[in-house]
Amino acid sequence: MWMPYGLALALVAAPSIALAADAVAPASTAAPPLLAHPYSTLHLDNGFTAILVPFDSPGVVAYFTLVRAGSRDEVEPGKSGYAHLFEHLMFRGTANVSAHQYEERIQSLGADNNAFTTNDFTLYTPTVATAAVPELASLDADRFRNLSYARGAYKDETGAVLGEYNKVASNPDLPMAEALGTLAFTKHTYGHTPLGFERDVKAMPGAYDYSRAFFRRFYTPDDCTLFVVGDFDAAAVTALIHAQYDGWTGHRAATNVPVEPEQTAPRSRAITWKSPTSPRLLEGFRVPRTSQNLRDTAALAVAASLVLGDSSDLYQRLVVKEQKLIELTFSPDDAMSRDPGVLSFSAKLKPSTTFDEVVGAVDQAFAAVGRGETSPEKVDAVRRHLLNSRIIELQTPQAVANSLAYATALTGDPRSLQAYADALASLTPEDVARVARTYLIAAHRNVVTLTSAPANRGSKAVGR
Amino acid sequence: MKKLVSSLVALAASSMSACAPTSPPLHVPGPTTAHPPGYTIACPPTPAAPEVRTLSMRTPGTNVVAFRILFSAGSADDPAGKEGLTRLTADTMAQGGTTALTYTQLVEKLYPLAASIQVQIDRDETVFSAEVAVASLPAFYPLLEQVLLSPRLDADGFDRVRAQETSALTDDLRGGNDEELGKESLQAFLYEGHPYGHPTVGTERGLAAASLADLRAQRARVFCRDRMTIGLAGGYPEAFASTFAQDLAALPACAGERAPLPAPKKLEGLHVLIVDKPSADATAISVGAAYDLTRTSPDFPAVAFFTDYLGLHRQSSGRLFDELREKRGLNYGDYAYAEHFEQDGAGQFPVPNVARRQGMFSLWLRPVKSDNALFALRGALYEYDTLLRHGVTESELARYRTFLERYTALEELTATRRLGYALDDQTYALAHPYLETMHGAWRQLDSASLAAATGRHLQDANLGIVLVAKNGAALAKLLTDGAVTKAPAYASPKPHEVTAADEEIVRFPLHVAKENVRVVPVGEMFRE
Repeated sequence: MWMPYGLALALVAAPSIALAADAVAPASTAAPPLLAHPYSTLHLDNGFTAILVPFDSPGVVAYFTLVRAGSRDEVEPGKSGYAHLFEHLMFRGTANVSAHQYEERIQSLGADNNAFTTNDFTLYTPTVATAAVPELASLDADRFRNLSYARGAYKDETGAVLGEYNKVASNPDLPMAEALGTLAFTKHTYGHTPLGFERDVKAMPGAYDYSRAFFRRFYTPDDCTLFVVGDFDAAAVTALIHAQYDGWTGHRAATNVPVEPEQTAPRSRAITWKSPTSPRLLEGFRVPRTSQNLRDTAALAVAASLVLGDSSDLYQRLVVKEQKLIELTFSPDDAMSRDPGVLSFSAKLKPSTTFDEVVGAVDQAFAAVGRGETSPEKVDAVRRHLLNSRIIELQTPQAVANSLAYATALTGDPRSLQAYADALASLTPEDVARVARTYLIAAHRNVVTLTSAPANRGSKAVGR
Repeated sequence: MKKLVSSLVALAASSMSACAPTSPPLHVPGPTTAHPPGYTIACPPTPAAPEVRTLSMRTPGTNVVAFRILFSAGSADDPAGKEGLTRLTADTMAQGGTTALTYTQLVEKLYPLAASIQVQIDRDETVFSAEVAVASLPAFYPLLEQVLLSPRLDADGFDRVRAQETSALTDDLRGGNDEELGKESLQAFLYEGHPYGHPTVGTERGLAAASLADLRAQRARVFCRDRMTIGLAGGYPEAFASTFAQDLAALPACAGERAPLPAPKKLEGLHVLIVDKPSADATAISVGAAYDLTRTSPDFPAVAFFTDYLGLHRQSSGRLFDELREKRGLNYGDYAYAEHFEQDGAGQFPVPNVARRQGMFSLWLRPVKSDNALFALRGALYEYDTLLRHGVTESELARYRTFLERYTALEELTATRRLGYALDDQTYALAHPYLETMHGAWRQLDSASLAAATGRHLQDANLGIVLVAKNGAALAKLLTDGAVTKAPAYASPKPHEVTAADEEIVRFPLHVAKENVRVVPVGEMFRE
């Protein structure tokens, strides 16, 4: 599995955020604790880290392993999509346990076993009954330490990855996400989605040796963090982790991810779609990386929600009252990324609506936020929305493991989960205005428009 | 659907406050043992008072409250010529404001709570659901109550939601999601001329024909008290369940009985629908048959065991997945289902509350390269046929039972899912919770009883097959000319067991009569 196509360029889902070395000071006003119980951190000598989180999920444990390698780490031309390919290859067996044996043993545990890949990381997400944790730990440690796959199995898996590309290729969100990537990033690897470029995916079968090198680069103890969340005995799991991971060796290779130059002028690209469709817009503003400034990241989420959220004046005018848009879709977590990224939203337009009027309306709304024309009550409503979303979200051990993994992937520090909530709680309206006038401006804007190819326009199939 | 029966507790609105909760849970679904949901309040109904079926699963100390207000109403209740009306009605209720609040005002109040009122609709059921933080309950509940009891249903909301649904049909289903298009087209094919025969979103003609007056009439007809069961779970205050039931008892009663479903048409032989989509670079495939099996049948656990063994949804454990994807790299995944299945979010488990009165068996092959489409179809039918004829060995049965019991125990980790499953148990009138029922039945299964159950319900002679593909006419010719299908050009050399099986797959009988193949341009699908 990879991340949902519409959101491929910007990280979605969980609450992630800052507190790396260069993070700002903790917020003065703290949010309520998001996790009911404190967690413990285990650092092994080889650089491997495990986070143990007690959670009220009787008899169930999420055992998630984060690899801080995603499509951003695919730096060689022609080699996009390999972080995602690895998410697949990790189910292909080891020197000790064949793929067939692995599958049978995982089944005997009744594991819900899957994984996904984003721009910035790959997360393996098995969940099992508490009693199955020792066996799962043994299998999981083995595949991270000793993955081994033959050329034939490798080629077969590249077929499944191409099948995954085909699965989403009927959706215009994919070419739009691809276009926004190449528009907003001329050098940085955020220019491609986690799926990779189609031509690179089709070339994967011939790159077995490269795949081995990719594994050695990033699947190392110092690049991985284990999250054990749920109902378990901490002492027993600690002993288990030492037994399974102490002997793992290796260091993550340095990745020279190209630095993207500052964007100084608006950019746009128009693409066409092979089927009849309503006109669509995908727009992204270049924003700073998440770990640079925690307060700014929270302020960006609030500023964007003020303009694009369901209760915003813009949404209510364009979607509800004037009905110029069929849909306006936005996720406040999209602003978060390990390197400077994009904060994006998408819209589906009525045929009589022009792209320019939507882009112009969004520009004007952000400018108003930047001038401080937002009432403190509205800022507070967004802040409460974002904090309540977290509370509702964190109901399962998987959701907690997922959120902590996101936080760690982006900032290197799981404490940023809570720190983000604290930053939200302490934001001032001026923080929100400042990020809007600094980042959410025309000079940082990238616009992708999609319309039907001329042959499809006016087709009766559209029914208008 | 079975009539909701005795295990449901009927609450008399007038006697609410006098009722005390009874403790003991019918059962605790899933792995949760620490917080048994305190099941329902059993009050002696006052004969004259309106009754509301209520299911409450309180877990004091948890910080979220889940609501599920379930109606025995779905797209099967759409009037002929107004296909899509039930979903349009439900969505306009949830997204159109209330008599007291415009939609803008409603959203403004909901937004800080991060609590949206979701609508999920299938053929026979519609559920309004929401999750809120316990602290938000006092602010949220009056809004939910208004949406259910006094929705605005005005022209602005109607126009907006209808434009969205029309786009969901034309842009998204037909134009942007070949997998879903294949699955919906299969149902349209199997249930032609039947109330299940159109997607919940409706048809272009049906959406265009619907009026605001139709919407209001449909609400009165199907979103009425006698069709409603209200469900509540999580950390709400003890007295809240009775307040909720009492308030919702104000919903007017239903005017009449729900119409029974006709029998679906009988398929004789293999029938193929090719949805001709010139832009389809890969081919999406769905196969299935309508049958009379639902969770109400004692055979359901066995048949579901068989389909899970053949192709458990989005897990690598199934035969189809192993043979088509793992060994041959044909696509991203291949699955089998004993009942209608919709995935919950990005996870692997099914959404609850899509219970149906009539059942459906299906196979789903995710898109394959066009050149390999017929091989993949033959391969799937070959695996299905082989398993049907040879059955599951005792050792495999024991191994897979262990897996399934443990895996399915992970299905109910949130309050809203536990509540949804419990509501389904009521709908199907199960004597015991679904997972407990399944696990108990699986423990009794052996190869012979499994084969007997599948023999009573599954067959591969009379099936509907849908392919979403380009070059429909050429594909139709390939299907009917009796030619042997070519094996794929694999990326890697295959072991003997695979090539030997391929020899059988390319010759696997696929007798499709010319008159049983239909090619329909994609623009015609769900037009009317």
